[in-house]
Amino acid sequence: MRANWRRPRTGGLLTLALAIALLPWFLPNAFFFDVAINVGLAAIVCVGLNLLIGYAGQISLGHAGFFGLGAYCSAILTQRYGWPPTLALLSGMLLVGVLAFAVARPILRLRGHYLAMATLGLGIIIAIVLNQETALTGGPDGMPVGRFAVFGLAIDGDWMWYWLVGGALLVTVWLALNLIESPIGRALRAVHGAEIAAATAGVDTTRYKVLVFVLSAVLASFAGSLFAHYTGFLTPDEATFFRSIEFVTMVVLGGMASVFGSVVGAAILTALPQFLTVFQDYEQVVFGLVLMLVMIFLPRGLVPSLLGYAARSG
Amino acid sequence: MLRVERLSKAFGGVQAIRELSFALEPGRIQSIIGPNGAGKTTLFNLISGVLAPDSGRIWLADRDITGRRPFELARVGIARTFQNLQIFFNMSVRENVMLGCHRHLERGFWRCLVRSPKIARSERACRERADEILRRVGLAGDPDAPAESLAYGALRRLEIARALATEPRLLLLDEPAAGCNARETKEIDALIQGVAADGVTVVLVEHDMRLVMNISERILVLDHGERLAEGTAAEIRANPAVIAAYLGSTAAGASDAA
Repeated sequence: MRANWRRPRTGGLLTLALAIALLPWFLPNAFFFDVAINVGLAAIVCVGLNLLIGYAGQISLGHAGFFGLGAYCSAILTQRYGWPPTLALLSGMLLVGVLAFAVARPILRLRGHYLAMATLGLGIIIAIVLNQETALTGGPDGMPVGRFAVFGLAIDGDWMWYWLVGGALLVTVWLALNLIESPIGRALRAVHGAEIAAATAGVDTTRYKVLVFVLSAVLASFAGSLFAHYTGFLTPDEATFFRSIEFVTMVVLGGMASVFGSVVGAAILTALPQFLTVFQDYEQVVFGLVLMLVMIFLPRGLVPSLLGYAARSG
Repeated sequence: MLRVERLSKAFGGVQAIRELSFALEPGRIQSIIGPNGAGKTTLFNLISGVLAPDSGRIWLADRDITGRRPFELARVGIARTFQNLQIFFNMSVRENVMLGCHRHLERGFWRCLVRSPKIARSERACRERADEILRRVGLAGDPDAPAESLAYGALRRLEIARALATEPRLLLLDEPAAGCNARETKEIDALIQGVAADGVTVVLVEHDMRLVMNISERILVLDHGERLAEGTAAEIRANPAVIAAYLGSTAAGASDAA
């Protein structure tokens, strides 16, 4: 395929690859590596979530549930049943995919924001189950998770984790961009723009809404599994409603329908609370405030607004 | 071509379509007229699957299509435009038309995900096809412009372009000339005649009697969801019931023009 360097996707992809490749050389210590790795994991979730929110115009308030379910799948299958980590990770993705499909299929036949309500409920149910099933999950006390390994190669230490998560993020962004620029991406945007017109023009709107919902849920599960092995200790806090709102805030801040915006949004809202200690106590308030301010003053989000500004002035 | 049998649809207590039966012949331009609230748009919504009928059947060339969903109907060759425009304002002019090509495109999930060469080829062909249709409807100016930058009359033609991109057998146009000036209406007139000449059956809902009388080979008149009359333009103009219910004094003006 002919590469076109002036197309934003190629330039953006190169910039992201370069940023991921260069960043670790400027990270002074393990704390910064930890932030960067968490940024990458959140960004994977947000890129998937943006396909759903920004492109297809559907809202999920339960993606932390899928993140948490993936994380616990990996934790439980590796710790309690001795499965290899990659197999546990794939099983988590499969389970979450099936669950997301079962929930979305009846709901997404309808037009409107029913999905937001359904995912809100689902996320809360998942959090409750993770808290209650103490025999499997350890309940609120959490459970330890062993090391991650890919085909026998143990992933250990900041550098290896950084490259694994960075590589996964780059691949995720590449796949998302491919999808957006395909007939499926166009169909998703059409569903967002005028759903009835999309349907009468031959787009099976339900199918695509379900597809992108399942895809975004599976990506959250994938990131959750990596997160479980990376932190080495898992609590149900990762699957709470507040975490779901965090993901949505990252997408909205970075920019709806902007894949790179999601990476930026995830970076800002993951890194800031780590560096600004005032955030620690008022985290929920600050996230709510950010969400409101962006909706009012930058409804398109950071990256699309900045790109638009750059295009106008240059 | 299209056959409607004893079709009924009510909204609450309002009977929008009542026991309506008619048949369309292939490759012709036919119009549906009638006063506001006669059920014209409801009829389009029923034929295109946007609404499901309460009773009655719809046949497309001997295939029962009653209750099929809109995308399925698009795939058997029914396309439509909307009276209240349904444009993808979050897309470019060209993309609006490319979306119409959807059912003809290579669009497997895994192929799209890795952007296989097959997808790239199919997208290139779709792009060229969209530009060709845009030229045909007179919108070739700036296909990369956002759709929201177009004027009202141009948006009507963009809807027609998107419908044509589906390569329909039956094209339902809901007030294509609404809000258009005389010159734009003339362009739409020529466009519709050209489409029909290609063998597409065109059904028009329109209030511009000059356009209707000029273009239609047959006219169906609806009133309160029922068939009031059916016939050629000359027959409809001379029908006393139609004059009383709908045409009124405008009939004289329309017949002068025709």
